[in-house]
Amino acid sequence: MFDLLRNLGKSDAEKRQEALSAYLDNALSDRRRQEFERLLAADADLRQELEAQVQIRRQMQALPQRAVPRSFTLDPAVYGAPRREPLVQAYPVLRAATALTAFFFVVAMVLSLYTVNGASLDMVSMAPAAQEAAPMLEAPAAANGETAVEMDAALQSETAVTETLPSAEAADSGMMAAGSAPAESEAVAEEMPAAAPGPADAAMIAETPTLVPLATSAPADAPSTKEISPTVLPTATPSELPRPELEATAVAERSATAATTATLSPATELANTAYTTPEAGPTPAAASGWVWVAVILAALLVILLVVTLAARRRL
Amino acid sequence: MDEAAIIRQAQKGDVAAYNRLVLQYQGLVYNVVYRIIGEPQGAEDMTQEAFISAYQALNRFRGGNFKAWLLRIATNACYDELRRHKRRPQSSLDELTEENDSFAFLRSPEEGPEAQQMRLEMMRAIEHCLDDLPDDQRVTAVLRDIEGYDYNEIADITSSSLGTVKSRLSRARNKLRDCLQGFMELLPAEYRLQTN
Repeated sequence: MFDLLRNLGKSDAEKRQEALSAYLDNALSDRRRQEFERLLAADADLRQELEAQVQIRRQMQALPQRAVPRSFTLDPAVYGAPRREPLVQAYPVLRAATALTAFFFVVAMVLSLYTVNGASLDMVSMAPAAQEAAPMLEAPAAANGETAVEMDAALQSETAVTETLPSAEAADSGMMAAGSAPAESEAVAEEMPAAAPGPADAAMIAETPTLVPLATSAPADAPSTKEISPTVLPTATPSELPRPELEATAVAERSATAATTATLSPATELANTAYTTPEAGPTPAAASGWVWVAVILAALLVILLVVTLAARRRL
Repeated sequence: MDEAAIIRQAQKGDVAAYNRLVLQYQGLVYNVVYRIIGEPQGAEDMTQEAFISAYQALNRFRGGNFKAWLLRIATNACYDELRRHKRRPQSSLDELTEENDSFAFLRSPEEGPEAQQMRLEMMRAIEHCLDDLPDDQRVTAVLRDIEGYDYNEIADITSSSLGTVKSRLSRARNKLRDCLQGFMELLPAEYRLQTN
């Protein structure tokens, strides 16, 4: 295999020179020998080159052997028994350990890559659910024109809660929420369809798009402001909080905007992507992932085998 | 007694048995080392070192070609020596003078003084061109073209693949041809390379 790779990088002249050298030593296979002899018959320069090489070799073979200047025998009084071979030789053990380490490193890399792919597949699989949630966002917004007053009351009560917290504290709690978010992200994602936010939440989503997943995790019964999760608090900075004097129409407008924006939230975009690329469905992708893992493991085994054989040959 | 039995005895600590192997192979090892090192005193030291190392490592020999195993130890010792000195000393054939009795073996009674001089010139040229080769190419060329080992033995001795041996030999011969062409132009026609 290594010879094959080495031959790939050779120029035609080098290959020709190597063939000539091997021909000189009668080291070509029958087929290659016949090919080379055809070349030789057609190329006068090649014949001259061969003749020059034959001459050089003759001169080198004519170099005289030197007489040994003295005896190289060992003195039995100085040299005892040869060293005993250690039971466990360090070199083969270290070499095997290195090979195993490399093998497991590559396996771990492959598995971690696969795990990342699996996570993205999970996200893709939850995306349709997110898209289902989007109409749920729109529907209340549409209905909000009629029920704006009721919603405004809920919004006011929520605002009352959030205004009692200083903004710094709200930011801290937001950071804490953000810190704990990854652990809860899966649960949040699962809650998305059920946790279709009310119009008030939708408005907050519109104002703080970066916290959309957290906002969407707020329970549907958002109006019961006593149970509002701190995770939504940082989204409501004092400047952004709806004021109690907001009119119902304004709330309705914001709800409509929120509904529109919610349809463009990352989850929805992801859902759109998932729908526009139906071949990226989880099952075929997972299957192809396993195939790749198998292929890579098989390739690694072949490489290990070749390296082992090469190492054995060198010993 | 066959070689395998002698080796087994030597592995048990019988230095006399090992010395029989030394006597059998010392000429071969010394000549290979000399061609690689290119200097008689250094070749002598390296040969002795190779035989000592081989004895100490004898229990690691697990059968097979003892000659190749011994030459591998010798060539490794040469590589180490060449690395220590970075480059080979100038051609030892500079010492090939009429006054040096140790080279009397090169003088053939049938040869006239002119032919003898030509032969010495040719040898000097070959030694000089061998000097200019990279170590691995020189070892391969010496083993193949001077000592006459086949590709498999050279691969065994130099711990390389057959492809590597072929490649090194081809490059070495190419460089030797280029180098010798310049020298041979100065020699009589029978010594010149038949090239354009």
